[in-house]
Amino acid sequence: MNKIMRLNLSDGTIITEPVPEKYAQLGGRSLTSQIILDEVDPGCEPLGSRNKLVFAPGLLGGSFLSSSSRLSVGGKSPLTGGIKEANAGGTAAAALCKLGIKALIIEGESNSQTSMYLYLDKDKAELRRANMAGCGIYESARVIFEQYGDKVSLILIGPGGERGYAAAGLANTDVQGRPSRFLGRGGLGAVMGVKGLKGIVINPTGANMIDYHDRKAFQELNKELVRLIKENPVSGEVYPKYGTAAMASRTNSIHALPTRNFSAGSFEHSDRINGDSLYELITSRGGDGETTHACMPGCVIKCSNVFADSEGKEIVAPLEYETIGLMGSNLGIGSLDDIAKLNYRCNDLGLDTIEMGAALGVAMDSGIIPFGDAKAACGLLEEIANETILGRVLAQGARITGLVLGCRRVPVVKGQGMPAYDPRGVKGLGVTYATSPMGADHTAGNTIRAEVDHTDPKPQVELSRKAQPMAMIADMMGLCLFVMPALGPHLDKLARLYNYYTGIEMSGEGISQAAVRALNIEHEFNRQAGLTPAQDRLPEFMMDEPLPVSGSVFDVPVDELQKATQEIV
Amino acid sequence: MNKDSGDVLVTVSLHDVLRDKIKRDLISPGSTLSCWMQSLSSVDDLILELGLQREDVGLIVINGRQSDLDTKLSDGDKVMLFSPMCGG
Repeated sequence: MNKIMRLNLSDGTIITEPVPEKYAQLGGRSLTSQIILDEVDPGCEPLGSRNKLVFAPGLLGGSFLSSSSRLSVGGKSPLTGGIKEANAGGTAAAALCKLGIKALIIEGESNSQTSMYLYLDKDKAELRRANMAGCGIYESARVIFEQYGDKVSLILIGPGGERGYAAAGLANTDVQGRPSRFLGRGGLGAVMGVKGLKGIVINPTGANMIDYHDRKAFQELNKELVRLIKENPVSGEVYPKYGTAAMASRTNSIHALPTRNFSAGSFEHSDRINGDSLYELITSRGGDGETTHACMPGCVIKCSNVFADSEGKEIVAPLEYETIGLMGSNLGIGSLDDIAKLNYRCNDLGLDTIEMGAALGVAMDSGIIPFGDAKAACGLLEEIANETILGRVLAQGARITGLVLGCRRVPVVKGQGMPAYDPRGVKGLGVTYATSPMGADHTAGNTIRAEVDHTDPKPQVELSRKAQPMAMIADMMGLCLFVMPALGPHLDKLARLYNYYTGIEMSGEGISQAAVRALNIEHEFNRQAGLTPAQDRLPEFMMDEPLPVSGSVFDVPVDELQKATQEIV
Repeated sequence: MNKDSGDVLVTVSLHDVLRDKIKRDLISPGSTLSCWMQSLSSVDDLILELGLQREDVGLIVINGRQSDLDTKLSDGDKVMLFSPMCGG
């Protein structure tokens, strides 16, 4: 990974640059955030020509360590007004690595009325005319695969991104070519859309810039790390068989499963949408359905799935806990089939299911449609497809939806919709929602695994303060968060693996310090963008309205919250 | 598990991995089973009784409230045990 590629949509130029020394040990989120701080005016409009979009594989990207090729994308977020990084598994990061691309920077804004896509292979980097403008993500992928064959990796936006909707994400393709691995959060799909870029086609055929410094030593240590992943009770058991959906029974039991626009923390139909139900349904239906599926080649966890209908025909893949929480219980919907259909429609429009689940929950709470009415929820997604005024409001996310519809219960932090953990039930994650530079984000430092009383306010700030750098470590190395319980205690081994991969010396301590530095970079950008500690808090209804049954409110004192970023900042 | 005087009856609810892991003779259709435990037994004792290891369990909820390994069981308790997860 020896080059940085820069596409300027304003003049159509594409240049490659050597990697500056200062970026050599940055990757994934730590690299996207550093480039954003270095190159993007923090005061710029997120959907203006001055914002940039930066893609980067992690430091171990493209290597054969399991679960190591997540793709990061960064930019200034139209939802939070601050720095944002979203990431996903899939195949695009490894394909970029094979082409030797450490970072891909998209800047400027096209003046052309015609939507374009970037084509990359071992010899060429070209901006090409997209004949799939306005098409859904699945149709766009089909058109591109028809032209280039199925060996290419794709990064795509849907109509939501093209229209600049703040709930829009980006998708990249999985091992079978499904464009459904979402870099969903923060509205970065809209940043790509307003620049006039519909997609990126990465053709790694014949390219292999991946060159191990010491392949044999890497393989040896890799064996040990894979064993740690397989033997760990978190990564070795529940995710491989039941996937993320298994979280629903856990959050439901501790009253942290978002229900009817975060008005309750447990759902009377949770048994119909949890990991057991998903597993049994997929197994009994057969056909296209798969209970376990790898989003990246070589992943030993395989937490993903393919969800099929009663005829055995694929509805969507994957169907994940976040979508189950936000588009299921949060909408009062207790049917996996209904959730899967909503999921597919959001994917095709290129919209983040978390943000849209939060927005639809707010719309239901406002009386636009009743809770539990899946058909009406589908109807609202069609309003978005058809560009009605209501549809355009919803696609701006939960905050705008709440403002326009006059709803006071709006589950957002820094303008970004809350993921599927009610922070009154998992208060440590609530601290992360409040203080992370990312806004409400479950991947920025989740504390759910800690063996503490999740409703006791006392230990939560400290838990979040430790979890946030650990999440950054995963994001900068390109690792899936699910390997961190196994590999997090062995950062020295990860550092050695990185050395065998690249030849660059690093220590476990060095990895931790780099993560803290990267968090500081993000806080610095946000400060310059005008975000202050005044925005580092949860919605007031969560401090005032006790959850039914548990009676819990979010009671970590506001003046304590800032300590979660002390020593970080 | 036979009942003695002073024993307590608890209902145990298990999902996904733990349901797969308990002693074979305890496996029942559905996700709940009933257990007689000696009085003053703790959740820790219950876990061993079910044939599980302590590290198999990451979350303990009794009667809708989060509990821990040392929590003493009372007659009629509804116990939920979950394997650890780190996110979703």
